[in-house]
Amino acid sequence: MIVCNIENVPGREISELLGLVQGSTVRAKHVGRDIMAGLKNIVGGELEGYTELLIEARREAIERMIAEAAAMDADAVVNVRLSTASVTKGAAEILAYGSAVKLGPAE
Amino acid sequence: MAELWHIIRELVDSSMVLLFLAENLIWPALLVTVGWVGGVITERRHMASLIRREQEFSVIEVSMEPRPPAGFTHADGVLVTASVVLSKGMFEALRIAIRKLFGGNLRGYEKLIARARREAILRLKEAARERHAPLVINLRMTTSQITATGLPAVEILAYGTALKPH
Repeated sequence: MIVCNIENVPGREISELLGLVQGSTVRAKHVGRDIMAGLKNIVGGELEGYTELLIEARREAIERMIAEAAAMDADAVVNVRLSTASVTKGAAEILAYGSAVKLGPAE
Repeated sequence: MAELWHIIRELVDSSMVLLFLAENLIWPALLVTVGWVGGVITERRHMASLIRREQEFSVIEVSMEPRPPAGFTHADGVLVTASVVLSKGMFEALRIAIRKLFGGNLRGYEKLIARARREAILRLKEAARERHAPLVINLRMTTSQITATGLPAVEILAYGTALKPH
C-alpha cells in the first residue's frame, strides 16, 4: 500500500477514487510515564514518554486507515492528513484520514 | 511562671510560622529555582544540538510544494512523520502566568514552540534519510496541547511525503 500526503502518486495515474478512509486511536499514558513526566516538567524539556506514546498511537491510526483501504482493495491512500486532539486529561486522540484510490498501470 | 509559659507559647507559635513558611513558600521557591536553572541548561543544550544537527541534515530538503519537482516525477513517495513533546518547565509556566495578567507576547512560549518546530523538522529529515530520500514535499505541521501532567506541554507534529528516486 502506497501512503502519501500529496494528491498523486508520482509517476502513476489514479484510475478510480474509492472514497475516504480513516483510522483513529485514543490513548492514555500509564502512571509510571506520568510520574517521570511530572519530574521532567519541573525543569522543562522533552517528555520522551509522551513523544513515544504519540508516535505509537499515530502508527496505529495509520495502520487502521491502511486496513480500511485494503478492505476496499485500494492500491494507495493519497492526500493523508493527521490530527491530534486531547480528548480528556491524560488521553490523546490521533486521527489519520485520506483518499483510497486505485492506480493505473505503472508508466 | 506565667511569663515563662508565655515565652514557650511564643516560641511554639514562631516555629509554627516557620513551618508554615517552609511548607508554603520555601518548597515552591526551591522548585521554581531548580526549574529555572535546569530550564536554562536544557534550553542551551537543546539549542546547541539543534544547530549541530541542522548543519548535518542540510543536504535533505523540505518544502511545502505539493507536487514533485523535476527529476522526482517518478520517484517513490512515502508518508513520513516526526513529532516532539516539549514541556515548558515550572519557571516558564510561572512567568507565563504572570505575563497573562498584563497581556502581550508570551516570549518563553514562543521560544519553546520555535525550538519544538525545529526539532520536529530535524526528525522529519532524519526519517527521510533513513529511507534514502533526499527530499520531503508537502510539509504540514500541527500543534497540540498536552495537559496530562498539570503543567501544559506542547506537541509539534511535522509530516510530509518523502521522495526517493528509483
